[in-house]
Parts: sequence; structure tokens; C-alpha cells
Amino acid sequence: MKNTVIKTDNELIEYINEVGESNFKKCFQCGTCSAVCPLSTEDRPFPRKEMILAGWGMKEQLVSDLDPWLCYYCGECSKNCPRKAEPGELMMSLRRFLISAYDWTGISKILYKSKYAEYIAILIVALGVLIEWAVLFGLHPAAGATLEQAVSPDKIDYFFDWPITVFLGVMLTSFIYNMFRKTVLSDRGVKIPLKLYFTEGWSLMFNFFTQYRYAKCDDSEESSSKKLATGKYNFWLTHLFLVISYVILFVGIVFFLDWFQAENSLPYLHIILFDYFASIGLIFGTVYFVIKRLTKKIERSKFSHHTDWMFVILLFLTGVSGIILRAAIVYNFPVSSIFYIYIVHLMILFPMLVIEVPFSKWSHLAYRPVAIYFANLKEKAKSLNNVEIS
Amino acid sequence: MSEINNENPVLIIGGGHSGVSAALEITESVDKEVYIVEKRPYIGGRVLQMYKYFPKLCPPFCGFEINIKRIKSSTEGNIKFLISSEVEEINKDKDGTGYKIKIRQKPQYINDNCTICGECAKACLEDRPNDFNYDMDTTKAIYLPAISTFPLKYTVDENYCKFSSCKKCEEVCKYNAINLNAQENIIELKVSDIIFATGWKPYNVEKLENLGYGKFKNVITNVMMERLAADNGPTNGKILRPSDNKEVGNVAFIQCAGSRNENHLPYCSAICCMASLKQALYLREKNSASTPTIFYIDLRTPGRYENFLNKAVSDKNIKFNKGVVGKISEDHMTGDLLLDVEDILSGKKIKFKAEMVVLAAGMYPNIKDDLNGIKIDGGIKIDIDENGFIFNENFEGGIFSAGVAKFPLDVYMSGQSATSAALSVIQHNVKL
Repeated sequence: MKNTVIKTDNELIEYINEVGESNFKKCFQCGTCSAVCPLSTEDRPFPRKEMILAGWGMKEQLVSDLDPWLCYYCGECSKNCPRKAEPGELMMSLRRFLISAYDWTGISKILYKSKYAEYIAILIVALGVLIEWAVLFGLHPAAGATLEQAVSPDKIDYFFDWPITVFLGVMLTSFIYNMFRKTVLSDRGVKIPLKLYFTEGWSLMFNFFTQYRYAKCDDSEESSSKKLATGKYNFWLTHLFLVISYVILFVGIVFFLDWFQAENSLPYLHIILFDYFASIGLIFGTVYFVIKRLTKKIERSKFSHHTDWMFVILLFLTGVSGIILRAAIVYNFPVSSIFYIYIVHLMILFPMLVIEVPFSKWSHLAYRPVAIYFANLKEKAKSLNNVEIS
Repeated sequence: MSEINNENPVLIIGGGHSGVSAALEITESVDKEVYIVEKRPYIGGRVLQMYKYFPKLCPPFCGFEINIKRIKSSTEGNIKFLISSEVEEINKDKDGTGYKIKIRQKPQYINDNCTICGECAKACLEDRPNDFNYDMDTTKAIYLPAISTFPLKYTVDENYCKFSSCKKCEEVCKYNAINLNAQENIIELKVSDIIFATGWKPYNVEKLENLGYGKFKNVITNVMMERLAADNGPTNGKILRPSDNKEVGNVAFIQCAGSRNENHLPYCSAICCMASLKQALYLREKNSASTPTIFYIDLRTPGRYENFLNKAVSDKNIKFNKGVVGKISEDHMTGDLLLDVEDILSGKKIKFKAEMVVLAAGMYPNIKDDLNGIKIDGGIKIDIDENGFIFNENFEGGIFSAGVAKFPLDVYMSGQSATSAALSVIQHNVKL
């Protein structure tokens, strides 16, 4: 047998300990968690393996591990853990660690470690928005100006919408490439044929738009209709509703901002899609998760990190301020009121985008489906290799 | 040798292996009376329900018979037995030394005339679940509670006997041994010392919902396995599974069923690893085609018990899986069981199919519940730890413990703890 030197990293152990409430050091490797996990596969079960990797600080293995993203915190592991070591919470901590591991700027790590750093970062971005606004539009609307004159949609596009889109695009793409490098390219054991990247693309889309793995958390033999009736799909459907609403609003606001500021050619589509569906989804979803986090009745809401709170609160405030802004425009409020509501809305929206999307909890929206995609790629490639060998 | 204060007797609560051993050690060493109060209608406790002891794999009767012989020969009647009895009150005696004990003894329907001829049971019409075999078979309402019952006589189960409306057993008994009108006795004693030797019961594994005990017939416990293997058990020593009485070979042993689990018993029960290894050997001995598999976290076979582990490991038909079972489901058609488990050494998750599952139920201390039923004078100090074991000996007050009342122990170590308790009693009663 070849001797291998295992590199361990004590700082990593401390970091994982800091960013979550798992007692992973208490784990005695009984394997109950992997055995009861409804999501882990036969070939690479989790989270027992992650418990020991974290306990020993095995950074190399952890950074290349996609499994934390395949875990949806169903909570069966934590419920059944004989050591109360909270393996589900460890997987959550590892997602926080991985977000900071893919982020080459090092910002995530600071934000995850200290809630004050996060508050300050949010304040800085909000102030930046205020200054930028003041430069572009001044701090008061000119007397008698129409909304379009006071807050030019073109300028919003040029100086807010498009820069943030480019910024987020560059950041997320580079982080996801980093993730690809660490999890797929680093694995010398698998060579992925180019064709697979296209043929497996469906899994990326499917998982993003259905988040079907949440539904698989309950692996009892009940029928789907019964699960639906007894509320076992509530979390999944609420989360899906929130994500879809978010995506609809994001796409709408980034690419069709005019629609929100003036009359548009398809008023009913707008009213149904944005004013009702997406607005309700955003508010209902965020309130639902806040209630879950406050009542702590289900495993996945038992522990809340400051980044969890910040994300859901910013999302809620963004939604509320956006709805107020939209209402003010639709109901022809005085231009000066709209002007101020607009500033407040952007001062909430931009910290949410700049801080949460690449550096904090929002990023799971990107990493989760990408991880499933990567995992599928690796699995398919392995089975292809096996066929060739045999 | 110093003189012993033998004015008052010693009370030993529990007539199992530890209680009897302590009683013998005291009475064989010094001239002092001992009362053993035993809840069950016979002396011997849980060891009598074993098929074999580890590590020597000898049946419990030989050791028990030696104890009975010692009781009869060397102690000159210094050990008194109160069977079917429970301590109700423990009070400090007014003069400041020793305790006043109130004991309630269930009616003794059968006296010492009994010759265990068995005519009464033949006449009896009522069945009862046989607790000696963990309810896997039945006896009549008048029955011999264990194969080597001591004191040797039948007993009556009050919950199933029809008493005055039947009385068939009384009619057929030729020895005037039965009196169904017997009344309960209240016995009051003054004692100098108390030894708690209250023993254990298997943990209620129904609480481990994932493992399906109580839901699936072929999921049994380790103590039931002892009875299935025993020649005097419900299957006459053939290991047959409950659902269809099929002889089983592919049996899964699941370790730490309740033990080392902070949601259940946070401590290690100490005996289950050896017990499962032993039971895997029963299977191998009785069925050469059998393939027992032991699912474990880590195997705890300290000291010389390691040899026993090596013996089991050297049998290639005994399989070991590091990783305990997370979930069990049943194949409703065959009654076989499907186990969800990770094989940690290979890092793969598997579905293991077994004909029968034996849960290594942990040891739950009786004392925890027993103390609720005893009225104890406020001034008497009995220290119970968070798991329900007595953790402190009260040398000043003369209150000691032996066996599993202290912590999980095997038979051999229980014997040692009994000797230790006996020595403490003697030291406590030395006249200075």
C-alpha cells in the first residue's frame, strides 16, 4: 500500500466551527447520518465523510467536495445523530466555507466571520449608491420635473443596472470557474468528454427551475398528493415560489426597466407577472423563512447564522421598498415622493446585490444547480470510463 | 479478627447474580444475617435467561448451582429470601443507626410443600405470556418461573389466574401446596446496611423508531436471541425467526441499539459487543451455513476479551460492517428486512438484506425507576447520576451498590462489584 501524507489545517477547523453550530468534533463515525440521508447516493454517501474531513481539517478534500451542495438540509441526519453532532448543520457550515473558498477576493471569508464586517460592507455600498445618485440626479428633484426628467431611466440603466450586471456576471463567473477548477479539473481520476457538457446541461436547468431535490427530502412511501396535503412539500414549494419570483423580477428589472417606470405595451402581463405573482412570492417567501427561523421547529431552520438573517431581511426589504415604489408610480404620487422612495429602494437593493450575490448566501442560487451539474458530469464520465475499460 | 456488629441484618435489594454473590460473600466471611428482597418469584435474575456466558461459553446453570450449593451448605441459614417482594419504605431508625424497612410481599399461593410435579399446570386453563422468554411463548397461569427456580416451587400469576371461580389447581394438588386465598405480607425489618443490587433491563428499543422493533416481527433484541438459542427456550434451542418459524442463517446484529446515543442511553452498555459476538457464534454452531453480520461503530472487547473477538473474526462466515444501520424496512412478502447502512471502510452506502435482525439493546438501570416506588426518608443519601446509576457509595450510612445498579457490567465484573460491596458492609460493621 502506498503511504499518503494527509495534510490537515487547524485554522480551517476553527473557521468551520465559527461559521456554524455543528458539533462535528463530537462525531464518532458511526455512519448513521449517511445511512439515513434521503439524498446521498450509494457511491459517495454523505455527510459522515464530511464529518471526519472537517474534524481533521482536510482542506484539499473539502475544497474539492461537491457534496455539501447536494445536501438540502432535510435534517434526518441531525435528528438521528447519536452524538447530537449536527451533521446537517456541518454541511451548512461547509457551504459557507465553500462560498469563501471559491471567492478569490477573500471578501466572503471576512463577511462570514464577522457580522460587523457585513454591516459595514452593507453600509458602504448603501452610501456609495447615495453618493452616485446625488451626483447623477442631485438630492432633491427639480421643481416641476416629470419622473422621467427627475430620474432618467437611461441613466439608471447606464450607471446602475448595467454596471451591477457586469460586476455580478464577472464575479460569479470567475467564482464558478474557480469551483470548476477545484472540484472537476482537480479530479485527475475523471476525464470529461466535451459532449457531456452539453448533454448534461438539462440537469442544470431542471434543478434550477424545479429544485426537485427538496422534494426528495421526504423519502417515505406516501403518495405525492398525500405529501402535498400534509404539508411535506411546503418548504420546497415556498422556496421555489420565492426563487421564481426573484428571477422574474431580476430579469424584468435588469432588462426591461422601462416597463416599471412608465406605461408599457403589455399592461396585464406586467400586472399579473410582476405586481402580483412575483411580489407576493417575494414577500410570502421571505416572511415564511423568517417565521421558520424564529420558531426553530424544523431541523434546517434550527440554527441561523448572521448571513442567513441578513439575506432574508435584505430580500424582504428590497421587495417591500420595490412594491412601494411601484405603487407610488402606478398611483401617480408626487414626483418628489417617488424620488425619495427610489433612493431608499436602491440603497437596499444594491447592498443586497453587491454583498449577498457573489460573497454571501445568495450565491447558493448559482452554486447549487451548478454543483448538481458538475456532479452529474463526473458521474456520467466515470460510468463511461468504466464501460470502456470493461 | 475484629468483632462484627451482628445485631441487625443486611438488606440486599435484588436477588440476581450480584445480590446473591454479595450475600454469600458476607455470610461466608462473618456471622451476619442477610435478607435478599427479590421482585421476581425466583432467585437468579437475568443471568438465568442467558443461553451461555462469555467468554467461556458455558451455560449459566453451573455457576448458579454452585451458588445455590453455597447458600445451602456454608451459611447456616444466614441468608433469608423474600421472593415476589418489593421494598416500600426506607426510614432512618430513631436511635440513629441503621434503617427501618417496610417490605410488601405478594401473596404466596404456593408453599414449600410443592414438589414441582406439574399436575397443577396440567389442570390450569389460563395462559399467560411467558416473561422468562420475553413473551415469545406462553405458560399456564400456574407455572414454574424458570428452569432452575430457587426456591424450587411453582408460582401463580395474579393477572391471569381466575382464583375462586376456578380453583382447579387446588383440587388436583396432592401435597396441599396451593392456597389461592393467601394474603400478601407486610414485613418490617431493622437493618444495619443496604446493598442495592437492582440490576437492569434491556432498553426499550421501540423508541428507536428507525429500527422497526415492534413494527417488524423479525426484528428482535439480544436478550430474546439468548432465549431462542437456549435449549429450554421457546424454540428448544433452534434459532427460528418469529414471523414464520423459519430457521435463519443470514442474521444482522446491530450494535449500540440505544447505547452511546445521546437521544437514548448516552453511555456504553459494556456487554453488547461481546454478547453479539457470542450470539454470532451460537448461529455458527447451530447452523453451519449461517452468515451472521455484525454492524458496529467500534468493537469493544477489552483485555482478555480480545481473544474472543479474534476467535469470531477467524470464522470467515462471520462478517463485520463498520457503520451502524440507519433505517430498517420490511419486505412484506417474505418478512425479510432491508437495512440502510454505510460500509464506512469502503465508503459506499448499501442496502443489506437479512432474514432476522438482532438489536444489541443497551442496559437500562432498574434503580432509576425502582427508587420512584420506594418512600425514602429525606435524610438518606443515595446518589444517582444523570443516567440513573448509583455513583457514590455511602460509607457512613452503610448504603452500597453492586452489579449494574452501579454501571453497566458483565457477569464477571458484577461478581467483583458484589465482593466489593460485601467488603464495604463488613468494614462498616466492624466493632472498633
